Amino acid sequence: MVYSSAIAIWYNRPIMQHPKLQTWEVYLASRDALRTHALEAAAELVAGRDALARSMLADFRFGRRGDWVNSGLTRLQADLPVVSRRSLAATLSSGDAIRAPSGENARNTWRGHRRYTSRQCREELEPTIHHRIAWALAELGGIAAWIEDTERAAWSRKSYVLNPEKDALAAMMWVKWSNRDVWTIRSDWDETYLEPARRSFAGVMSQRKLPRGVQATVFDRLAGSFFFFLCNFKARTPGWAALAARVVEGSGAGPVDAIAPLVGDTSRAVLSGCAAERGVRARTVAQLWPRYRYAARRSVELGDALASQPESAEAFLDAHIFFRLLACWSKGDALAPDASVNVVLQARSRSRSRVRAVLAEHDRQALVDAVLALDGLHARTSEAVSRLAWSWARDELRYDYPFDIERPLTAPCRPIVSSAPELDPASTAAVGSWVRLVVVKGQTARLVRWVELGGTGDKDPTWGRLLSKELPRSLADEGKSGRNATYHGLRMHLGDALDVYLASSIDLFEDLAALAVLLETRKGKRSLATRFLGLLERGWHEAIPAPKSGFPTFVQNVSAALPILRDRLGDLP
Amino acid sequence: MNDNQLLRYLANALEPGHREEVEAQLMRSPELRVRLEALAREVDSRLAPRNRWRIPPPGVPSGRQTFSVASRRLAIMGRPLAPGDLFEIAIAPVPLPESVWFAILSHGADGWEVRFPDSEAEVVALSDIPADTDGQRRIQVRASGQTGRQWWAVALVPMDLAIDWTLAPEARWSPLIDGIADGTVGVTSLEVEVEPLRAD
Repeated sequence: MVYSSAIAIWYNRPIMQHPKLQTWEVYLASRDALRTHALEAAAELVAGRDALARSMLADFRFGRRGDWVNSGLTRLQADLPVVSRRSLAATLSSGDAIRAPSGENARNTWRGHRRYTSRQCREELEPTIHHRIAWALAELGGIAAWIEDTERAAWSRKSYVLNPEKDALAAMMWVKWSNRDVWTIRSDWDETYLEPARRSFAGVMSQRKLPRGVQATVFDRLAGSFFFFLCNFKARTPGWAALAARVVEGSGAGPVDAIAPLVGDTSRAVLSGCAAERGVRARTVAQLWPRYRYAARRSVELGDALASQPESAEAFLDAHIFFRLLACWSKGDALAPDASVNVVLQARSRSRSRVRAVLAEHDRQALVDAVLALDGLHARTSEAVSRLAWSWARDELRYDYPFDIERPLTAPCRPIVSSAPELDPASTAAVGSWVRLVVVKGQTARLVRWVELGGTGDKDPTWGRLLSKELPRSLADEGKSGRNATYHGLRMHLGDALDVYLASSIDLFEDLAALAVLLETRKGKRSLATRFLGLLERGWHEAIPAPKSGFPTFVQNVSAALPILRDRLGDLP
Repeated sequence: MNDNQLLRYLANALEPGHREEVEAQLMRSPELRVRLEALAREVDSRLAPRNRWRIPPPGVPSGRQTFSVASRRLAIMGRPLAPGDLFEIAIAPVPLPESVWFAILSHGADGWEVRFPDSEAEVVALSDIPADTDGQRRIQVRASGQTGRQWWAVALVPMDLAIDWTLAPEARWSPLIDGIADGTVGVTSLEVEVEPLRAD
């Protein structure tokens, strides 16, 4: 039996002595302390005092960063969770109201007790502001402690079997990977590490009940691909380096703390740029540095924070999780105990895979040096292969097992444009016309989000057309055209100059908004298009298609944008 | 606890904290232990015996001296390739074609099998295959009986690789298998789509 040894691990242990298991009484005591603290802290916070609430965030790694905690508490009060009465009670009601579990449920993990409590609680609480804040603080407090233990401390509790002979062989093979001298180690590598990879593939195939005829081919493809998947030296993130990053993740108190010190200047610039510019992490960065309007500046701030202390990486990741949870809860999502934990797992997994990919691209020697400094290298490598192969197997399953070694498991971050490009006068005129078109089409708010956050946060088709159809190709990033066109350079340019463009057009917008009067008469409506285009076409650049229809809506759009623009431009120094 | 967690536990693919959580649940729940054992049996039964062949996936040339291949269906009244039809494998130019002979392999239900040559007398140096004007050498191969995607491979074997032709195939090809693994034998695979022959 291949797995008999794995099963023996828990058969041979004394039952109920596992550190993750706690009695109902112990769980209830910690829950009671947390909910009491949270109810007091929420009452204080509603009254304008935040000391207790701050203390509840102390278990997060950003808990000592006063400015980040301030941002977090501000966000918490602005985006209150939308929680049902039952859910509120499950977290905040007295434990006396919950029937104690019996039998095997009397001892459980923290997550298991939480699930039980959520199911069993029959009470309801009013969704007052006080209760909603208290609920969030209690949930956050529990999750912070769980992250600290499960996602960090557990890595230091893990021990690896030493095997001097196999560890020496593993070290030799790691050196060969880094030297690209791989043909001489292929047999040994496959002999040693193909089996853990096969077990992961078998697990994924079992889960999906793949037909057995298919799986024989999958195993043969895996056997032929395994080596090439790792040694694809042309790839930006060769598999062996990504595997090395996974090995190093297991070397410290937690995976992020373990690899953060290896992040070099280039990797740091890419990571902070990606975080500040892309997806949901960009919103976290914007909330942590609210005084900076543009992503480029926030990227620099994040880079500086990461450079000053490697521990800042975990602090940032905790802050990201904090803001993600608040964002989900404020929409009524991820309220169930496991759903909250899944948000945590997803955010950590994605962030860590990005870091691994960037390290594999830019800091390979540092990775190899760190790998070679570890003991128990064979066991560590074997475990890392298992985890990598699990992700690989799921990825292959998604694409029907093509074993395309060119496709990395994690797409590396694309380098962002680090400074705004110099535009010639013609391009500047085209950008000015495009910005006017954006306002006319009612996309002002999306333009601002795109420039400041790196994305609009939705997939609005009108905005999509403005980017894909109504910008001249000359404004796309170099080497990117057609459907792959990107506009990081333009965005950086607007990061510096959007307000200048808007300010230079504000009189035009006032004039366009004033055309609303024409909508009051039939004759006026007939002349609207001509009058509108007559105003708009002054200084209009021919590379930008002028609007053709929908002029009443355009007037309304400009009218709606004006107060926002006046407010924004009035902020300018 | 879902099967995904248990299967990852069995594959040693869980991170330490999550492994601890699974272990804790296993300790407290006899039912979960029964489920784990059932899953272990299921996975064990799926783990086919290891195949020693190391044929890369299509499009990935393997070996210290790599080469590329392409397949082409031979025109048969405009219909798709059917079981038993001939198709063509074009081998791109390689340096010193007189120093290697070629072997054709196909993948079936029992794994990889050398389809050609079957005896020492059939060994043909690559240079003995006439090259086109573009330097490609074309070999005609008959598709096997299975429909769907068929997986084929071409190996270029150094003339000095010692093959004991008196042995049964399993033992005979051991030097070829080792040569592919250590890169002294170049190998490239390709797929062809084979459709059932329709009556019309």
